Amino acid sequence: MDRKKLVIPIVFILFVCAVYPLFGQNPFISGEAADKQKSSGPALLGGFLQKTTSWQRTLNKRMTELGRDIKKGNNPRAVFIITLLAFIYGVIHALGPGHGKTVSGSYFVSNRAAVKDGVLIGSLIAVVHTVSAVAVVLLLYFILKRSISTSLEHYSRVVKIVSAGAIIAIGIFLLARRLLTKKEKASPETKSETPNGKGLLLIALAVGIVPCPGAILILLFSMNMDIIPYGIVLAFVMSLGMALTISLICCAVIAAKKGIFGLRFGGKYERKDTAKHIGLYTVEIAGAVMVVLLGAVFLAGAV
Amino acid sequence: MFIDTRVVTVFDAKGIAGFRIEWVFDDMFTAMIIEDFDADYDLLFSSSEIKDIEGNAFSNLRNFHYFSYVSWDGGEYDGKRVSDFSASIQSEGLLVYRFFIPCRITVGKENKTVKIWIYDDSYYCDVGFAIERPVAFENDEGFRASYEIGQDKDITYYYGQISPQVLKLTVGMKNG
Repeated sequence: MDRKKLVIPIVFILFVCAVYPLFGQNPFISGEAADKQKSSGPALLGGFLQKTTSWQRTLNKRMTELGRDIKKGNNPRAVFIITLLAFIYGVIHALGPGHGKTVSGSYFVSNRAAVKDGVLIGSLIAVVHTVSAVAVVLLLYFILKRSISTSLEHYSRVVKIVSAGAIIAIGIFLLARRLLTKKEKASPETKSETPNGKGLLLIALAVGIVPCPGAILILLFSMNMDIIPYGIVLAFVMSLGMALTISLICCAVIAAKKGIFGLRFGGKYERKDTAKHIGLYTVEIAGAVMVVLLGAVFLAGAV
Repeated sequence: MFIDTRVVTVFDAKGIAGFRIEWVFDDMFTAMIIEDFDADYDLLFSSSEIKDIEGNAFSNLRNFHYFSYVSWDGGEYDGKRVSDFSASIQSEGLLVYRFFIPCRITVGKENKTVKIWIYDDSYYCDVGFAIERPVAFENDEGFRASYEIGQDKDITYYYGQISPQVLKLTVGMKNG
């Protein structure tokens, strides 16, 4: 894709990112319960999600106590501890649902990438996710001066649709490229297909456009405490923690794929192996299909 | 969002008339509601502000069963009706919602078990029973009442990932 073609979608996504917030559907404000959420039997994954939520609850309480201490006056110890806790909060928060882990993981299943690409995309998603949250809260609070709770909900549908549409488009592109590769009978031994910077940026924007609810809540609290500049700093410190989690998950996917299919750095085979080639090709098709399906699910949830 | 919940079981002559629910929210949701509904930042909600909060940041919970599920031998709460909503800021600076769930449960001399789960099945909110004074009883002079709180390992929500807490009440009419 040439630069001119890339500018339009990036500008559009950045525009939407700045104007339309996305926040998980707040049941106090809007939405309806999904059917059949309740089931019988023990919690899956050993209740891992429940444990991470419990850790977040504890951190949340401690951070707000420290926020009050900071409001009272000069307290460098509280500043140091809350900054550290914001990073840990980011690490744990990103373990929960959302934050683009599944989409970016599927993207790397479909693409032959280097570990550094995993770090890059994890960091980009976390930063865009946080920039989006900061932009939206400041926009509503200082410029539009509108009700934050209802406005967040009001605009969330639009951003969800844009994000889902972008994810579907990327998935279709990956799928088409993979299918065309077979048609042209390109040799995997000679053709490196590592994603370029533009591809990584697009997937990060498509996923990260969704403002981070954790960052939004930190900003709201900092407004209430009248420590907004520090709230912004904390939101970005939190994004570093999220970057660590998302990057590690992406890197794990890349490393697992390399290990299973014997790929060298850069996506080429270490040795010629037809069975592995077929397996790799199938998995990469499945990864692209997964990206499309995830986008479709997000879209269905938003419409 | 995190919510600490308390449940007051309200008795009348026939048994249980319903449950008064109290939710204490975290600082973050508190901040959002103060920003949006406490125009003068005095941390006191007027009756019109409470009406606004109820209309804009509570009534939609009807679509979510008010997060409240009650089951007893022979019946369950339909999740459609609540009354006496109020909102305030407590001394620690946290937002509190209070409302009443009308739930007629006739209680005789034999012990009866009532189970209460309070959770958000969309998992936007993590709801847990308050550590201090999670349960209280009102007008219970003619009744025996005890409770225990535990994790209900038999049911899950949010795609099978979360087990809610369950409050088990054991109630019966006192002899004589």
